[in-house]
Amino acid sequence: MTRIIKTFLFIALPLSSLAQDSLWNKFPNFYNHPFRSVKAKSMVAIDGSYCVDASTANNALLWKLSQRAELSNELIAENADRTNVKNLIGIDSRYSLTYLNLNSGFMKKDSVHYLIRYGFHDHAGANYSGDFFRLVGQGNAYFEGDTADGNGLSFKRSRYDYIDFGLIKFFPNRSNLTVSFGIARGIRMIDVDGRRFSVYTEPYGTSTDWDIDLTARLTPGKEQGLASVHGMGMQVSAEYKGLLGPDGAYAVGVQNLGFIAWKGTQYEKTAKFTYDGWYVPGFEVFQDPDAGRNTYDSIAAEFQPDSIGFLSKELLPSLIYAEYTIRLLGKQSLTFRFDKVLNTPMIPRFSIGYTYFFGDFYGTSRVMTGGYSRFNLSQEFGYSKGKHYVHAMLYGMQAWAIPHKAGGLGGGLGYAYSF
Amino acid sequence: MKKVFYLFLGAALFIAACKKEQAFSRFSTNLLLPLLHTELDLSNVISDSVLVPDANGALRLVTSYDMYRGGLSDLLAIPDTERVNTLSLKTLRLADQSQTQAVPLFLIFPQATALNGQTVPIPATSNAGLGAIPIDGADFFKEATFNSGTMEITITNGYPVEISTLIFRLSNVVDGSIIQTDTFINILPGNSKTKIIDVSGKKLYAQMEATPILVETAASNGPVLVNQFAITTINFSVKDLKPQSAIARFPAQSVISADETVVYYFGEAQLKELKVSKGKVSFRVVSTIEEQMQVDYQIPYATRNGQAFKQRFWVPAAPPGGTADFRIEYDISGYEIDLRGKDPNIKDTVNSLYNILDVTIDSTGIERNISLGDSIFLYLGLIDWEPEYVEGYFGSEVFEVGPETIDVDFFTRLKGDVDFEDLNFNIVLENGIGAQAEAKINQLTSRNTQKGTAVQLTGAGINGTHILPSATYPPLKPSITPIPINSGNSNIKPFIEQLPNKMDYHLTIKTNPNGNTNNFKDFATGESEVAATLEVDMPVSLKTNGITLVDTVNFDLAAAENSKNILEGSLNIVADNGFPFDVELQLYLMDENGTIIDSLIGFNNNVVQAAPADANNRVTSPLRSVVIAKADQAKMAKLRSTKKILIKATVRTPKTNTNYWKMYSDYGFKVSLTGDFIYDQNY
Repeated sequence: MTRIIKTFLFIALPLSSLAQDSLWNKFPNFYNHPFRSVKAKSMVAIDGSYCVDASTANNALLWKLSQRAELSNELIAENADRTNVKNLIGIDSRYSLTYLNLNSGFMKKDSVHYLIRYGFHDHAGANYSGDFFRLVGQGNAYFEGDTADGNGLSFKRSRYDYIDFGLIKFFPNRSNLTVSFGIARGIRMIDVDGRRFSVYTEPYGTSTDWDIDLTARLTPGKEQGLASVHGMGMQVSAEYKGLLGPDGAYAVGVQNLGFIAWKGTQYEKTAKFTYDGWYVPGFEVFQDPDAGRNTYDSIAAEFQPDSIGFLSKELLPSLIYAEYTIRLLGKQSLTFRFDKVLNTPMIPRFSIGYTYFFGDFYGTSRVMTGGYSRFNLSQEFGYSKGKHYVHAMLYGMQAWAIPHKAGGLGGGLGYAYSF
Repeated sequence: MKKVFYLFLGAALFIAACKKEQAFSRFSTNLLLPLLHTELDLSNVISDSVLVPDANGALRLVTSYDMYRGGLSDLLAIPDTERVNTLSLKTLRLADQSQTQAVPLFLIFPQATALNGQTVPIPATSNAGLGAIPIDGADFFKEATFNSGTMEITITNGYPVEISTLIFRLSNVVDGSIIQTDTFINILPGNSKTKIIDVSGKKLYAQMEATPILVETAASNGPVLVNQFAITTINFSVKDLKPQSAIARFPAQSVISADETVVYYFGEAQLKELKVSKGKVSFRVVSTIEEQMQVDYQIPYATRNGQAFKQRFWVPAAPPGGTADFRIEYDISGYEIDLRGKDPNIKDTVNSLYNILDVTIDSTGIERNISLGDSIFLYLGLIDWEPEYVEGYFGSEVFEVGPETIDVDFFTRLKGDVDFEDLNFNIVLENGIGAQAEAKINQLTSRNTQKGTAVQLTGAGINGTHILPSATYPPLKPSITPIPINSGNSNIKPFIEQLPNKMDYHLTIKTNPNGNTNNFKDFATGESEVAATLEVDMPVSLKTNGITLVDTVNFDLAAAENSKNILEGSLNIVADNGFPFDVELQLYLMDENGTIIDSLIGFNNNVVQAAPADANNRVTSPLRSVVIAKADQAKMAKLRSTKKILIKATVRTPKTNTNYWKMYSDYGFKVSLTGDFIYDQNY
């Protein structure tokens, strides 16, 4: 079932999530134009997105990773050759189900309405060196007689869901402020801080020198079902959309700003050591019938990290954004946007989107740089008929076209029913 | 509205239920893993401690093997001994005591009651059959049979008339036996008379009575004042009582006092002086005496820091009719003992220990049953005595050393043929005793038990007797007598080159072969040793047609948790050969039953090449050889089934150069086993 849904979401009906899941496109009268003032009705909307970005890994690899497919040595080598000193990779999946009550005022105030939202967010981001990629993908044999420098490794993942309640306040010029607040449930957390991680391998592998200073905090990997709770927290979202006269608009917002108090296990390994296999002191040890019995125990002892349970409050991967839109040629607009997912290895991302309308359709073409990737193209389409609205987004179009030369894939899907 | 809510809730649950974590992709990676490493040099096959480099780094084999090494305690054993002394009580005595009884006038002159206070003449009287006068001797004893002693009876006449005749009988109440019958006469008023009764051989009980058989008084000389209560006293006193046995409260007294000289035997040794390194003196006292005893024991001529060995202890009272068994030990370490007897100026003897014993009983105030028949068994023991210094004449004694077998381990790990360039051995005889000795090597045989070969050392070098001069002291300086053994005077080459692991020896050592020439001044200290040592000092210069090193090591790849992910690969045997010898190397895989199931190295590429050498046959630098053993999936399956690896290495000197090869301290053979594995990363 998971694979079916994932494939469906991934291939068929993408929706821009990182940029386009704001109420801006749904309200008011989103499909005509943000500057047009036709007040929408109440609605139920379901949205989902799944996006993978990488600064150096190509789509051929990302696709197989997403499919859990077997990776060929050639594919690994191809991507290893593309690595830089520092590399980023990020996976972000979001799903939400929102009920907006716009037909009646909240607490008898016509300008205030409420919303209820259930959402799921899974964000993973990694920063790794090229040597680290080769070490994992090609083994230390590649570094025979050399050092694999994996220093500066970081990997963060937060998987949580939340339910919140929000209010929307409309101002006379149709500017509006939305604030929602709710609880968050922690499902899975991984935080790896590999300050030092290097391995020197002697020719023929006769010896390996390790320099490790690594902290890993993990929640149990096999407990991620519906009932899994490895932390609880709170989160708040807020966004403000304002009009700047008849031809300009802006929006700023933050999503899922909050924390979860995670409970898990922390592993620490800080050591510089040489591992050169089991040392046989001399032939006399062979006289001992028990000689060698503890060989593998000693290996385990070399690499065994210290572990301790932890309970700590961690900030959520919160999306902040700011965008500015100007009208172009009546039914077209140009949007400049900045966004970033806080508390992750992601760097700030900038995008320019061009929106155009024809009939019940609209389309947005977007070019982005930053984030987890160097360059990305996405295309969004929307269609509205009566009470129904559907929109989809295809992410990483350039990488779909040249999968061995670029990385970035994903998409989104959304449907809304008005009543 | 309600519909919308349920739709929202249902959809939310659906999404949440479908969230599963993304698993990772599968791929294979190439791991280069060190598995084991070892460094092999000559110290691994010849014990490290015996290889000594000279100034040029060339190794010499320097070692020594004790064939025999005996200390003072081996040569002069002081056996644990326990001597029993049976000691009887010599005397017993009881305390002197007395008691007085009063006889009022009216008992013998009944009219005195009527005439009391009057002054009248009193006529002569004669009374027979008067009642007995009890005598309570409980303060003296409960019962006793005396060897000697006296009882004195003193009568003091307090009547106003003369007691002209008093016949009395003293008897025991218990059995009515008569102790004594006696007569007092003419005791004037106010006067006393005494009778002494000898109680020797008599048995007395505490309850006695004196029976007046006849009491006659003379008439008064005219009227006298009659006092019916006028008393005549009878005083009983016991003196110098020495019982044979008694149940009594005994006063404190010495019951045993003995001194004696005990002669010990130390084989043929006749010792005049002994200093004890460690040891104990034990006492066991078995006593029938029903009174606590104090025992004082001393050895006057055993001194430490100027103080004689003197101990005092108490033996508890024996239970009635039983015995007390008491033990105690005292440390006598560090005492110097003069063994020349009680008075060396009068009689200078040997091996004699003079000691003194005193036993006294304490006064507890409790009635005890003690007789001269009671005895004390005193067990005096010398326990675990080890001498620190002895002096005297050790006698002309023959010590057989062996036949014994010792393990010789410096060639144990060498298997094969070895030809040493030069062999220089010494059999060193060491005498740390202050007495001359002579030694004879009856047999010295080397054996290689694995080959089943044996070579007896023969030749002029070891034949005949060898004199061991006396050591000198102080300080102790043993005499050293080396017997050189070499190829010229013995068959030492085959003796050694069979690479023995056992050596049989039989020596005879005779002390003082010429008698008491030191006039009782032979000595030995705690550091004195007599030893026969095989000393080796030879250059390690050899050639071999094949020394084989074979052994097994446990290897359990399947025990490694992730080893199943190893798909295939190869094993690298990386050898850095610092020896000028080729080494044939093979690794055999064995199952848990020790059955060889495969080998890792092909027979045509199993030679680790010798390191290059210069014109002087000195290795210039180690040479690395890498033998790669392919491990495909079939081989990996066998590798996972392997529980032991048999390693076989055969070393040969080059056939093209038949010189002897000197070994240097920097020669070594490093071997690493590494795995170049294709590892399945299946997360």
